[in-house]
Amino acid sequence: MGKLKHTDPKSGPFEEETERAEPRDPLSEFFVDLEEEGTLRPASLLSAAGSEAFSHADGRRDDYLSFMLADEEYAVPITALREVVTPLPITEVPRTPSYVLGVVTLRGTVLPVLDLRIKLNLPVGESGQPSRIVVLETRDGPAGVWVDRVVEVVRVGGENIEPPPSVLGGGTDLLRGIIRRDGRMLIVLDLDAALWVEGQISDSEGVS
Amino acid sequence: MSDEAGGIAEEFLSEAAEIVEQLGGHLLRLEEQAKKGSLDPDIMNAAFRAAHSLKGIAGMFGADRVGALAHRLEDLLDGLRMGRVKPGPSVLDVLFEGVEALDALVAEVGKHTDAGDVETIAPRVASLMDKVTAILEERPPEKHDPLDDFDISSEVLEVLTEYEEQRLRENARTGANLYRVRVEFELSTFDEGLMALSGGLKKVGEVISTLPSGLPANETAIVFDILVGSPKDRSTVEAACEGFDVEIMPIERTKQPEVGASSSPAPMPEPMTGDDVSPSASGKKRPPTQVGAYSARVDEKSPAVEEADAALEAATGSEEYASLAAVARTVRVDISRLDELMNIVGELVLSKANLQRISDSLKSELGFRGVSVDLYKEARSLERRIDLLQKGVIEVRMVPLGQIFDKLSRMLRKMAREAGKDISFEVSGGETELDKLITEELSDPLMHIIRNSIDHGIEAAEVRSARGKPARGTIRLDAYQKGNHVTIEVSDDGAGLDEHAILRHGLERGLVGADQVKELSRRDILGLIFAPGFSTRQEVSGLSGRGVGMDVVKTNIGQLSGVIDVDSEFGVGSTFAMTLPITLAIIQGLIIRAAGQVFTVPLNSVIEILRIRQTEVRTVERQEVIDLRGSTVPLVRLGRLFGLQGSASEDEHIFVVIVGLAQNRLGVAVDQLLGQQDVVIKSLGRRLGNVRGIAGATDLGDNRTTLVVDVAALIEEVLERDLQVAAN
Amino acid sequence: MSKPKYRILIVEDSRAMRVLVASAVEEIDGVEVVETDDGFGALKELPRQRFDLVITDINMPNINGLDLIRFVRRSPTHRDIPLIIISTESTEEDRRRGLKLGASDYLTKPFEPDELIARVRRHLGLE
Repeated sequence: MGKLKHTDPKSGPFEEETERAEPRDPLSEFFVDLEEEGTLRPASLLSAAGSEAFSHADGRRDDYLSFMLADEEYAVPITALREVVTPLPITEVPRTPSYVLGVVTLRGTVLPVLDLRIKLNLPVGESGQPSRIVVLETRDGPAGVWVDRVVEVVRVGGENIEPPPSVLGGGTDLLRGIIRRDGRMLIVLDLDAALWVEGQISDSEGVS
Repeated sequence: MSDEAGGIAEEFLSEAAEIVEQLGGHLLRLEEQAKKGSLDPDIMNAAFRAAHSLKGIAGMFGADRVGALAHRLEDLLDGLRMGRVKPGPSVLDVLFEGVEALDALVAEVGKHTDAGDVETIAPRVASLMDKVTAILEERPPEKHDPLDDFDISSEVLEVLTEYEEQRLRENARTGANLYRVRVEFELSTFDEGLMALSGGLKKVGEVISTLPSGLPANETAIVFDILVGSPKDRSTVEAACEGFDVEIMPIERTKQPEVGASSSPAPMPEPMTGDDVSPSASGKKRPPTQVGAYSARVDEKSPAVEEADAALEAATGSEEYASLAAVARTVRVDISRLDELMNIVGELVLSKANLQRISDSLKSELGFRGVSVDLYKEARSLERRIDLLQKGVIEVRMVPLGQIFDKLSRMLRKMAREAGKDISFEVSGGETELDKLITEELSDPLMHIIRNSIDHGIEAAEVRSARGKPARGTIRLDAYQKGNHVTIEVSDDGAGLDEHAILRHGLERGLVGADQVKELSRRDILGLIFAPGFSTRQEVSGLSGRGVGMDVVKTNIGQLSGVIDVDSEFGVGSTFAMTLPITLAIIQGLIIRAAGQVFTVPLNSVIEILRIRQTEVRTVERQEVIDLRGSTVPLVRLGRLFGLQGSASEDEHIFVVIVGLAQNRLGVAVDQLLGQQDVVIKSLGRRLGNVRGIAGATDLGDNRTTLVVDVAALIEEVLERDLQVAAN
Repeated sequence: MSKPKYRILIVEDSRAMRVLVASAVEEIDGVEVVETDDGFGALKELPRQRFDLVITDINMPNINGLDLIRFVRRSPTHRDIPLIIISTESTEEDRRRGLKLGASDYLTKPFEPDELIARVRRHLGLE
C-alpha cells in the first residue's frame, strides 16, 4: 500500500494513538460565523497550519474533517477544506454523470457539487439530518461535496491509517484508507480520485 | 534573502523573455523598412537598446550564454545604428537567428536545463557569433566628418551619447537642417507636453536628443532643448510645434570657417545658444540677426500649460505619440488580477440591476416624484459610471494581435528556412485587439495552420514555376474586427486542398456515407478535414492537403467560443478563417427559459428572434428546420438537445433565437424570453469545462447560477449531426 | 524602524536591474530607495524630495543619463547630489562623457553588489 502517505517510520514520542484535536467540540472551535450567510468558515486555518497539529517533525499527525454519507463516516484532510456551507440552490448541468449534482456560485467562483453517495454506490435518501456542502480544494480546483452531516475534526497520526478493506462497497480506488477510533470506522477519501469527473479536462488540455 | 533571490531571478526571466520578444518585433519592422529602402533610426536604436539591456541584466544574473550572445548582437546592432554596418538581408538573417537562439537560451535558464539542449544550441550560437564577427570586420572606410560643416559647440556634443552624435552626423551628412527647439513646461506636467511636442516634431524630422535644464528663477518650470534634424525649412518645423510656445534656433552650416563671430553670447539661462558659435568657427552664411531675434523671445516666459494640453489632445491620436507614450507609461499586470477586477465589476453590475429594480418598483408605487425621482436619477448615473468602468476594465484586457503576429512571423521565417522554401509573409490588421487570454490561446492554433501551409501548402519553387506561379510563395495573415467578433484569416497561394482526395479519405474513414456524397456541398467536403480521426500525419502529407491535426485546431478555437472555416481552390491556395469573440470575460446575455431551466445566450451571436407557430416547423430527414426568408435553417430545442427533464412549452407559438457565427445559422427554440443583462462568464473549471454546448456559468443576481450556452459548439454539433444523419 | 536617513534615486529602465540595485543598496542601514525607469521619471522625482544620491543608467529612452547628469549639475538645488553611473563596458565613451559632465563615480555592469554598496557608502559619507 504505497499509497499511504503518513506511515513515517521515524515517528517520535507522540506516536501512541489517535486523539482529539481539541478537548471540546472541535467544530465549534474550528469554525466561526455559524449564522452568517449560513456559512461555516475555518476560523484559523492559517494559524492551525503553523501549530503542532501540522508539525511532522516528530511523528506525523494530521487533522481530518469527518462527515456522514448515507450511514458511513468519511474523512478528508483538513488541509483540503475550504469551507462548509449550508446548501445553496444548485443549477443542474446537462450532459454530466449522475453524481454531478450541478454547479453553485460561491463568492464569485463557480464550483461543481458532487454527490459522492452515487459515486460510492451508497443508498441515496433523505437523511433527516441538516445537510451541508463541504467545499474542498484539490489539484483540479475547488469542488463541493454534498454531505448528510458534518461530524467532527479528528487528529490522526499517519501510522493509524489502515489500508482500505476490500469488503467496503464502492470502488476502493477512491479511498486512501480507514481510521479506527472509539469503535467507529472513518473512511479516508482519496480526494483527487473521488472528485474526478468523467470526461473532465485532463492535464494536457489545460483550462480554457 | 533566498526567497528574494528567487523573486529576482524570476524578474530576470520575465524581463529577458520580454526583451527578446521586443527585439524580434523591432527586427520585423526593420525588415519591412529595408524592403522599402529606409530604416527608421528610432527602431534601430530600440533594437540596439534591447540587446544592450539584455546583455546588462544577463551579466548581473549570471546568465553567461545569454549575455555573450546578446553582447555580440549588441555589437552588430550598434554597428548598424552607427552606420558602420550596411543593412542587408544577410545581416537581418543573422539577427533573426540571434533572436531565436536567445529565445532558446533564455528558456533554458528558466528551466535549469538539461545539458542535452544546451549542447544542441551551443554550436549554433558559436557559428552565429562567428557570422557577426565576420560582418563587423567589413567596415566601410572612415570619411570626412560631416559634423565639421556645422557650427556645433563641444558642449552640445558632450551631452549627446555616442549614438545621438551619430544620428546628428547622419542628419548632417544627408544635408538635413539642424534645429534646436526650446520649450518650457510646468514641472508637474512636462512629460505629456513634451511627448506631444516630440510627436509633432517627428512628423517633420528626427528628434536627436532632448536636453532638460532648470530655470534658476523658477523652481516649478523646466526648459528643454530638443535637437531636431529635418530636411524641412524652418517654417515647417515651426508649424509642427503649433500650440507650443517654442523658440526655434537653426544650427548654422559653416562650410568655410572664418574668424570673428566667436562673441555674441545670448542672454540665455542655459548656454547652448551662446556656445554654439564655437570660437574656431567664425563666419556664418547668414547674419547674426536671427540669433538676436530668438534671444528676444526668451524673456517671454509663459508656462503654456493650457496650450500644451490642447496640443496634447490633438497629438494623442498620432502614432508617434502613442509609441513614445507606450515606452514610458506601461504597467505590467497579472491577468488574474484583471479577472478579479472583472468579477468585482460583474458583481457591481448585479447590484446596479437590483438597484434599478428597486427604483422601478418604487416609481410604480409612488409615482415619479420625490425620493423616487432621486433614486431613479442616482441609479441611472450609477449605471453610466459602471458602464464606463466595465468598458475600461475590458479595454485593459485587450491586446493587439500584432503581439502574436510578430512571434508567428519569426517562427515562419525559421520554418520556411528549415523546409527550404522561399516564402514571403504578409500581415495586416496587427492592430486589431482581442482579450489577452484569447490572444494567448490563439498562437498555437495559428502556428499549426501556418506550419501546415509551409509543409503542405506552398509547393517547391520548381513546382510553382511549372504551375505558372511566382517561385516565391506567399502566406498572409489578416485580422479585422466586425462588431463584437474578430476574424483572423490565414491564406496561402499554395497547392490548395484536393476535394476529391479529401472525400475519398473521408469515405475510407467512414466519416461520410457513400449514399450522401452527392448531397455534400464543397464546403461540407472541405470541412471534413476538421473531423476527429480524419487524418494522421503520414497519411495526409501525400494529399497535398492540410488535414493534419486540424481537429485539434478546431477544438482549441471552439474552446474560445470561436469557429473555424476553410475555403480552398485546388492548385490556387487555401484560406482558413477563424471568427472569435473579442472577449469572453463579460458579455451581453439574452436570458431565456427552456424546458424549465434558465440559460444565458451570448447576445453577440444572436442575429434575430422570431416568434413562430409550432406548425411552421418542418422536418427534413428527421431533423427539424424552419424557413428564414427563403433559406432553410436547422432548429434545435435546447431542452431536448440537453436531455432536460422539464417539459417543453405546449404553447401554439414558440420563440426561435437565430444564432450565427461566420456564415452558419441555427435556430434555437426556447419557451420564454426573460430579458437581457450584462453577465460575467465564469469557467466551469476543469471538472465540467469539457461539457459540450456550455461555455460557462454566470450569476444573474438572484443567487442562482445560470449556464451560458456555447453557441459555436451548438452550431458545430448540429452540423455534425446533419452529416451523420446523412451518412446513416 | 527609524526614519530613513538617506534617500537614493535609482534611474534605470531595466526592471530586473532596478530591483537588483535597489535590494543591494537597501542593505545599508537607513537607506530609502526611490525607483524610476527613465530620465522623465527622474526629473519628476528630483524636486519632490531631498535626495542624497542618484544612481543612473546612461542608455535610456527619451532623456538619457547624460542629459540627466548635466541637468543635475546645473540645477542650483540639486547640483551637489553625488551621482553614480552604472553602465556596460560597451558604452565606455558615454561613460567618459558622463564623468566629464560631473558624475561622481561609475560602475561597470556586471558588478558585485558589494562593490556597489561600498561605493554608495563612500558617497553617502559613511566611510
